[in-house]
Amino acid sequence: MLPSAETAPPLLRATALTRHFPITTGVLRKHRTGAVRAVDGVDLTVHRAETLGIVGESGCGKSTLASLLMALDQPTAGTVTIDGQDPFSLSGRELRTLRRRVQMVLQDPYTSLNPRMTAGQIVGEPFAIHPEAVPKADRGRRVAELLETVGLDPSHRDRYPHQFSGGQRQRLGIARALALGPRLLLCDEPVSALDVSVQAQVLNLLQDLRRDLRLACVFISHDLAVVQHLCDRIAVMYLGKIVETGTREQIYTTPRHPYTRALLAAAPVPDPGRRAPDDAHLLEGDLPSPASPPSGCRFRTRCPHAREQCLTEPELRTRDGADHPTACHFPLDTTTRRTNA
Amino acid sequence: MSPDAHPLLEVEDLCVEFRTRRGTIRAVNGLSYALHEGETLALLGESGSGKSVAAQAVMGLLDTPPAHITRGAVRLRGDDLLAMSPEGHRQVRGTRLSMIFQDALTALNPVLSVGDQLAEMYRVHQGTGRKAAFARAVALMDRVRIPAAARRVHDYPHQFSGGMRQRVMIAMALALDPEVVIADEPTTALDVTVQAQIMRLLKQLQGETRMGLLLITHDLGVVAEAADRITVMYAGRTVESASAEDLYARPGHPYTRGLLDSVPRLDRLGKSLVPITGAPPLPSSVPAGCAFHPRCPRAEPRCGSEAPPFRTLSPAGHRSACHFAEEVHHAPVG
Repeated sequence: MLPSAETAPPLLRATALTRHFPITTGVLRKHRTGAVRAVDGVDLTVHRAETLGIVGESGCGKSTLASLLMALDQPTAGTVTIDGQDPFSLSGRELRTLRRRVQMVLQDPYTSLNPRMTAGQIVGEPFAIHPEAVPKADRGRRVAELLETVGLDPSHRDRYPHQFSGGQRQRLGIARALALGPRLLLCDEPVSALDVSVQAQVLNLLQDLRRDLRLACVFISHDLAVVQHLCDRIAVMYLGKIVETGTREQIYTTPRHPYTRALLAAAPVPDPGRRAPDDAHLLEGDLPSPASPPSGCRFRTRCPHAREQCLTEPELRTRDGADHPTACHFPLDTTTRRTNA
Repeated sequence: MSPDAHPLLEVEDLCVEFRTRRGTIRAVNGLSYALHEGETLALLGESGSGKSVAAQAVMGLLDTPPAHITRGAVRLRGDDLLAMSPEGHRQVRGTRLSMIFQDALTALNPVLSVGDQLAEMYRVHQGTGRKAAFARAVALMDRVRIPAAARRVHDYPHQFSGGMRQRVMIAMALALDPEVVIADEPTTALDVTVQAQIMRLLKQLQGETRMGLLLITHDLGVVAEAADRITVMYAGRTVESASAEDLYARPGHPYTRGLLDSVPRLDRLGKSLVPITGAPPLPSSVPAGCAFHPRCPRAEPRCGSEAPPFRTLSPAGHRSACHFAEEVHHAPVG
């Protein structure tokens, strides 16, 4: 964190952010019978040049959270502020200006690029929507610069997406996200569609960009090892709620929430010598439906430590003075480090 | 002949081509491996490496045309599967050899209850009566630890969660006590916590039945936790094969080494990654010589013209197809 972080307003802040999707029944007269509580009261802040990782399994609401943070979807309750401004209260030109500061890299480089546009057109398209960003005469040069920044050959600007490999396509997606000079890049599973040997290239590129351009990043992934590699701070999500946040070291070496520890125990490590799967911490059962989450602590149905107290909902709070809040009535002892870390 | 003389499943110099109007694609080019009883062998490879095609060839699931098995042998306890009639192969499939697919939602029939589909295995292959077959289906679901099996046997695939659906797939594969189970990316579609449950289940079942498990995957972590031996494929060819410990500790091929250096790991916080440059070749344009040479940091001119032989590096059976295999094998792992 930067020294000025305490004084400057955060780049991105979400407060009690909530998104419920209604469940309706009836054909002619639809009526609401429930709601999928995809995101349910999430607080988070991202400071300048900081990287926040959001980890969770499928169905935990991490992609819904991404579209709320990007102001692509209206929250049911709660607020998002970007540089202190609320995107949902703005419209027209003001909203467009605000959007320039936050850009997104999508998961699938095969479906997120228009197959009928050339690489140059794809990377230059943001300038058509935000003509004030770069004067027309400079756009060709800027596109070439962007391609070079992400490690692509500017002479390939007239090629179509199918002429690029998966890794190169993801680089195009990153170049497009950088076109407007954002301060924050939101990456939703940016490497999970790529082959192992190519993932590392894209991860290294993201890391270089973040450092060279002093970009803040929100990095959403199901893969703990990938998140570990890129992020300063990490938030763990379960069923629409954040259950723990902390620095990379705090989360990986001294997790406080039983869910975080279970996730770490389940993640396979590429070392046959370490093959003693941490059976004691493996979870039973599946993720409950977000349409009818358990009362109280949402993790209690799968938690090995659940007790009566867990029927009341725990708040995300800090103990022991460390900046490492967790939503658990019985947080794990942080004095014992995980053995395989 | 002692039972050990025949491995359970032996694949020798397997070549599979797809003949299309736009040319011939060689998807598998000289794959060999042997799987023993109670053993887990991993076929490790990225997309396009030919690992799934190789499995389908063994299962006899490839359509000819366009696929043609042009060379090689597949032997199940000495019985040549490729020489069998389609009917003979169908008999073997399910009873002696079975497969777990990646995506249980598309592999299961959506309009039949799970019980009907499991019972069908007994009705078709063993002529079991309807009631008895259903009872065995329930027992099977119990065996793969599906809770409340007697009630859930009437449910349809969409009513199960991803992990439970994968258990149904496993139940179906194990129904007739096969000698060999081929699992093609069995946990790729699942979350990590569920993946851990499924891998643990497979291991427990293997302990009960002594089945040979061929695990096809791209995930270096899953392989490290599950496999006894590993065969690494690249562009349709075998590039390395060794015991799991040996392969991770002393890789003998630059590709394997590159893979190990490029995965982010939970046990190495913040360590920088060394990626492999470039991208895997398309099966339609595999480079001449060593297929990996355009991406290889160690490549010399001869790598572009001379295909390296698959050589033995150690008495323990560590083999590698690289001109500089010894040098790579003995270099320290970073």
